[in-house]
Amino acid sequence: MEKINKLLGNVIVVLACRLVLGTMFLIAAVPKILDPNAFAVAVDNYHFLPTILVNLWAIVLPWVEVVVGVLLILGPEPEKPLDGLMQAGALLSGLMYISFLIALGWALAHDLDIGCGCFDPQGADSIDLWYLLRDSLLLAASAIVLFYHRSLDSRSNAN
Amino acid sequence: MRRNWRILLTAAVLVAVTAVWAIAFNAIRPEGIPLLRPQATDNGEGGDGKVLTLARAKRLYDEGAVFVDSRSPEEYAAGYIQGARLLYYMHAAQDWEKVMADIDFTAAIVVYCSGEGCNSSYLVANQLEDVGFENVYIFDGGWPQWAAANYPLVGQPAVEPKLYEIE
Repeated sequence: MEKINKLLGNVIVVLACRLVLGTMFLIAAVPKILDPNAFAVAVDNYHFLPTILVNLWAIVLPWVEVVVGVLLILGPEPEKPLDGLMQAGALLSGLMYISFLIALGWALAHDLDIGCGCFDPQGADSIDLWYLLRDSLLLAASAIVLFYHRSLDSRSNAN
Repeated sequence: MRRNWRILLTAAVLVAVTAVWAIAFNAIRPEGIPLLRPQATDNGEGGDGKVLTLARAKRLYDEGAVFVDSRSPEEYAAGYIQGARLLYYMHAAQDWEKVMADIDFTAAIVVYCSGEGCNSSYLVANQLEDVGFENVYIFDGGWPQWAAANYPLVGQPAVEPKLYEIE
């Protein structure tokens, strides 16, 4: 009984993580796709990526956010060899948050007075520690989704 | 372990497919941006199309092109290309009408910012094109290249220039 409760709790927690992450990605991606130039400016303001790569990042990242957001919300479970689709989405989600954390940490370390570019590419809100906390929590949520589904796999493989 | 690799591979394929789609979509949409941020080379006549080298920017300047500074009012106040008008990129959508009120839509316009690593000139140039200006160029070398070449500029003005002042 306790195990079932635990599993149920996990299922709900994992589902919540997926929905929150997925929704965040979709909300974040739309303005970036609508105005790629503004997002490129926001990325460039970090002075982190080499200039030549800024536009490529600004073009591709929002679409990866869309794909990952849709995967996390829908949670598809296709057959082999695509059975890792959901986990791949969670993995990419985690990698994106790691990159965001690095960029935010860079901006804070260099005392850059720039907009985050996280949700509104033209937003002028300054980066502070709250952004780091938020992205750390979302990174943790990505890890929960990734590892929960991996543990499910090992269980079903054992049976 | 094989499963871990499969997840990694799936993630890589997802990114690759998404990247192809994103790049293709960017290429056909009107708001698309250059795939690789153009780097103007300062070798005289090079620099194709809209992105100008220093030499081409200077030639347009001598021909009477309108220069637009997309940097912040503070940066503008510290020095700008002589005759350039300030159109801060964060306010460009609201301010362009006021700043460009006397400019014909067919006039040659050169937008610049703080040189290597700044992208706001692209943003402002796009906005000016969106509202109907037909000949908008970007001077990628921007303020530092211009200043280093000793071309006409207003530097460290004694009185802080009024916003949108026209020399």
